[in-house]
Amino acid sequence: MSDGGAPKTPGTQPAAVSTGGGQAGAAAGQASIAAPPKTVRLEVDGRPVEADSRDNLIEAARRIGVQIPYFCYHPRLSIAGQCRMCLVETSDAPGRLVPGCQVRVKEGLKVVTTSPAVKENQRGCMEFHLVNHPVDCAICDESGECKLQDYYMEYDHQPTRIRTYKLNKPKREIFGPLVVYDAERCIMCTRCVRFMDEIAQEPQLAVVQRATYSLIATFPGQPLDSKYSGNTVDICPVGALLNRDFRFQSRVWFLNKSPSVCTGCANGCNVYVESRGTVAYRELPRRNEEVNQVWMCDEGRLTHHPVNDNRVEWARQGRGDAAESVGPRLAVERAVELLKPLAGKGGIGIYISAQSTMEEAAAALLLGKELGAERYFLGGKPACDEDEFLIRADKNPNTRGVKLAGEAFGVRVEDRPPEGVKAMFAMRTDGLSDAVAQRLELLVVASQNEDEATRAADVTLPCMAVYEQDGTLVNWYGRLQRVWPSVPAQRGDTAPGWLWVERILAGLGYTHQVKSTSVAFQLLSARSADLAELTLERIPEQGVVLPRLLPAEWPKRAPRPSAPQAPRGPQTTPPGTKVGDEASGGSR
Amino acid sequence: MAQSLIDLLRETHPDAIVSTPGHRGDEVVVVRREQLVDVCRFLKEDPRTDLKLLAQIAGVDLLTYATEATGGGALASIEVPAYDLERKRPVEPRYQVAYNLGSVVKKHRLRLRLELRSDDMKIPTVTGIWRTADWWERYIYDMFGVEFVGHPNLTRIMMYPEFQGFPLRKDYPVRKRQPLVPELDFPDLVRGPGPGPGGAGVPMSQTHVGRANVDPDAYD
Amino acid sequence: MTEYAAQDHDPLALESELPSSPMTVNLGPSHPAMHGTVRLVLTLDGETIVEAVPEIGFLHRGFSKSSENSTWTQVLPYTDRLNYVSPYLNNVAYVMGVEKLIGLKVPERAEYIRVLTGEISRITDHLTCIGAIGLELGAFTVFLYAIEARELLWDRIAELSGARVTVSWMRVGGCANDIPPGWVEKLVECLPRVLELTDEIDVLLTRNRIFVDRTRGIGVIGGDEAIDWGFTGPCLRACGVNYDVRKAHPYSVYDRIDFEVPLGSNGDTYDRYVLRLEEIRQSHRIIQQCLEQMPPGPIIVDDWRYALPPKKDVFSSIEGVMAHFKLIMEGIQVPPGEIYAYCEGANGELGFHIVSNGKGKPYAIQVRAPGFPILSGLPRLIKGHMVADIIPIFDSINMIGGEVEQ
Repeated sequence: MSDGGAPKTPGTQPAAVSTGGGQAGAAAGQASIAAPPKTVRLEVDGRPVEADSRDNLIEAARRIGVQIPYFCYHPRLSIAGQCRMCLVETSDAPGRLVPGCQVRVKEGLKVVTTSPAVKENQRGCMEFHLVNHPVDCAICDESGECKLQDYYMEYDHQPTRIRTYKLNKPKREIFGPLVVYDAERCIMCTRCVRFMDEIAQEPQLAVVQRATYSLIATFPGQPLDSKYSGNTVDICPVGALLNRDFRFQSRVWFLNKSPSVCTGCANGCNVYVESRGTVAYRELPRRNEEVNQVWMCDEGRLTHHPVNDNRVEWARQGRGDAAESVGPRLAVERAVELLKPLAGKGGIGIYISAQSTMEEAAAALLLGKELGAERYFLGGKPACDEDEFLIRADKNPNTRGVKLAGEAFGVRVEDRPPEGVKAMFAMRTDGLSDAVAQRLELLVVASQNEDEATRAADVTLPCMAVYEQDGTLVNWYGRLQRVWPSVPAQRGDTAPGWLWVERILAGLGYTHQVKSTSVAFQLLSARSADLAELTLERIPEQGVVLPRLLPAEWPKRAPRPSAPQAPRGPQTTPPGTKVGDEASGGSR
Repeated sequence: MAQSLIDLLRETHPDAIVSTPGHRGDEVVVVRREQLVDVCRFLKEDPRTDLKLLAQIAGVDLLTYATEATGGGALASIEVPAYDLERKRPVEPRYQVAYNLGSVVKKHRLRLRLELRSDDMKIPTVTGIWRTADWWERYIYDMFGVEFVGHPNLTRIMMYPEFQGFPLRKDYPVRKRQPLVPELDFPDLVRGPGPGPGGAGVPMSQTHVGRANVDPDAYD
Repeated sequence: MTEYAAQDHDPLALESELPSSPMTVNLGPSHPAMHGTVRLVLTLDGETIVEAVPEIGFLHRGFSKSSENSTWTQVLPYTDRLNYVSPYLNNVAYVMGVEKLIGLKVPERAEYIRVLTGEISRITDHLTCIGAIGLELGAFTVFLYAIEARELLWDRIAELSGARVTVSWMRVGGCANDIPPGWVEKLVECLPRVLELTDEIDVLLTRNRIFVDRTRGIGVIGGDEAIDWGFTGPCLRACGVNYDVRKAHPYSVYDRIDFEVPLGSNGDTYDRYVLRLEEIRQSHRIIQQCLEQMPPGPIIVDDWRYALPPKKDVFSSIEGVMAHFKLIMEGIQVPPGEIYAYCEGANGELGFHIVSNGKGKPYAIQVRAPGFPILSGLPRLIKGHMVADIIPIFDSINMIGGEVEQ
């Protein structure tokens, strides 16, 4: 642990580089090579490897499934050589160990990762890393996904030889709104420091003190308040940096990890939602080079709270205090009873929140068509701050999608507060104010959370969150992305919005048979040229770009689609894509 | 000792052997399905092999062999999001059936293994060679749905006839519930003739208070 | 559905003469003489059995499926419940399989403890079988003697593991605990009583005219045929076939122990009974040699990848707590491979076919319960005999529902 105390200043900004290629694409060090990449042949543990000339030894070995252990190396950060865990032997330096993260591949190089010297170094390294590590696994949130635990079992598995006291360092140091630091658990890999310098580009962390007393610290009077601070928790290989929102909420091995798309803003970062039962606990970024690379913002990490808190759980009828839970069947009957006399008579509006999935929007539009609705309104959460990287001002995940759905149905979706209608059906009530709701003679809503509008609604139907249902969303630049039921357990009477519409339509006597998400999606793909030939099942896991929607201007650092558009074929995840590895943003 | 068995088998049935992936001292021969019966008969009847004891037939479904995650305790597998099932990609040949053979005289052991594609799950029966194969084959059929061609009575053995699916396949969820089976009507013979509820000829379902018939697909 | 007998429901049917056509009788699944919950569908001609079809599965608990969703160590309690009269043997057979996959060498003391507890279990298993034969042929005294002896041993087992039946005491790499102080003395004290009771049973039954008439020449099967049916253990040795896994494929420390394998000659119910009686005496010999030879030393491997660290280290060092955490939460990481491990259970060859994919859970595991093929051969044994003969024959194969139906 003596290889340079302070983190190195990177030469280039990796986020600005298109990283379309394979594993790990362009790390900071790699991107500075001007020459075009070429194939290099080398040998790892006696087996031939064809590597990219930009690969280091860790990446080259990974290509044939040989694991070289490391803590400080991260494919998207500059090389620090801090942890000394990745030392291997090469034919270039016989009898010496070289760091696998720093040494780049070379034609004909022979790499040995299993020699006694390498093994002894790994064992010794682990022992040193654990010298001052507190006995914290039982109370540490990282345990279960901690690299120290994994590597200890694989490379050390010896009892301790320390007979003295451990060094005490600050614990529970609040770094910022989302991050708490425990210096005793820290192994000084400096990944967090490098992340703040290079990716977030807000240098808010630094290494202070020397040698074994060194720790990570913020600058005086300057908390870690970057909007990307949560990523430092993800890349922390140990439990030193923890997410204050998730801390002590659940042990990680009880959580189901399931892919989804963040609903926090229009960027549509790919995420994993981790849940247990009906409760979602946290979001972690999922790798998608063309949307969010492997990062996400802090605000997005809190988007599970509306899934857990303040939910409409039971179908009910009646306004305000007169509301009573009556079960889904009676509530739908009541909605039908109220809507039927108005059908075709005019004065009906449809309100679609941009928090809805494409399928929910399509179903709401279908209902509007059948009821002869006069006006359609676009709702959603109010716009807020944005930046040049991953945060968009539009805080709704599907604004483009709702507009596209409106076009498909040939109606004008007005982006303004509802007015000029007597009765309204609202597909999710985000942004529907009390004043508007009170003016209406009839309001039927399908809503996820309790709010002003649900209190004023004549019939309130509990709607599933995006994280709970199958569906699609369109992000700010026109990428159609799929979501899955990430929180699989059923909560109360909740159902997807399109299913509530189908039930109402069935009650009104229509036989559209929108019985599944696929059918709901077909409502759109049959009407829209942009979605033609697409079915729900044929959307790749990484999403598909709708070229007509691509914007003219791009924020400076926002990831963008690579030149050839994603093919419209069956599911196209390359075989062997690993969930939760380094490239997908986790700490592993 | 068993290595000599494999050598012998190579001599006598050169085209039957696909590979011999032994592990930890267990000798294994992967045989072609077409020659299974020939090989088995030879192994049992030839005095040099004398594998008269068919100890067990075991099955393996390789569907999640590469993808299944590490432990995490039993709790972690309770709720499987629908997405994960989608993710399970086909693996071919997906099934393996292993015949653990032994000799009580020569005291050697051998395992025959068949590899099966999921679209063609048929194996010729060896009930004509070892009688004990009868129940083992029924067991494999019951658990994996492998069809043993020529088996005299290929019915479920552990599960009841109405059971849906094959429980040891890896895509059978561990917590799956089976639909209720309606009670069968048959004359209540035990009570014999006489007055009272349920005499002879009265269907059993009318003599017992039936369980409320719950429709799992109900609307609410 | 099976055919049911009375063709008509005439109230006079009971008083009319018995029909001469074959009658179908349903024996079990809940019948006092059907150990466990096995059903036999019998076709009778008068009192003679024409055909018998055993139906199993009433006790199926999905051993394989449950095990595939547990860590390697969590499987142990499931193995207890396979053969619940000799749970140690099941524990041992399973952990031997896992150790074979890992290539793990177990400390010598643990090997002796395994043999010791295994032989105690064998005695309790045989006593259960013999007691049941006696009971169901009317010799209730025999049952009481057998159960008294069994209780003596189960008390010892309870002192060792904390449970009489569901012991879960073996671990991958050794055993859970060492033998507690004073336990060996207690065992030595109670063993003579066990032998004494066994001798009493011997005196009461072996030359008892009624018992001999009910068992000799009943349920005969030849050696070759028995092998064909997959018989192993006492049922096979009663036919005169010298096959005992402890001798044929010596595992653990059986090669250092002097014992004999008793053999029968007729392959009938009587031989199976006498053989078990003799095996109890041989097991006693093995236990005594184990107690003499057992060395002091560790009882589990000192490798934190497989065995839990001592509690002192778990509570006071990060290394210990990490190893403990990983072993409990993710399970032992067993290298990938496929093996069949087998040992001599109380009723025959007890095997586990285990596949690992290198992760913390068994990828596939299926048990070769000795009773499974033996039960499949039951129709062969009882065919042609009278209904009353089912009981001693069924007793003598000592079917254990837990392992046969998994």
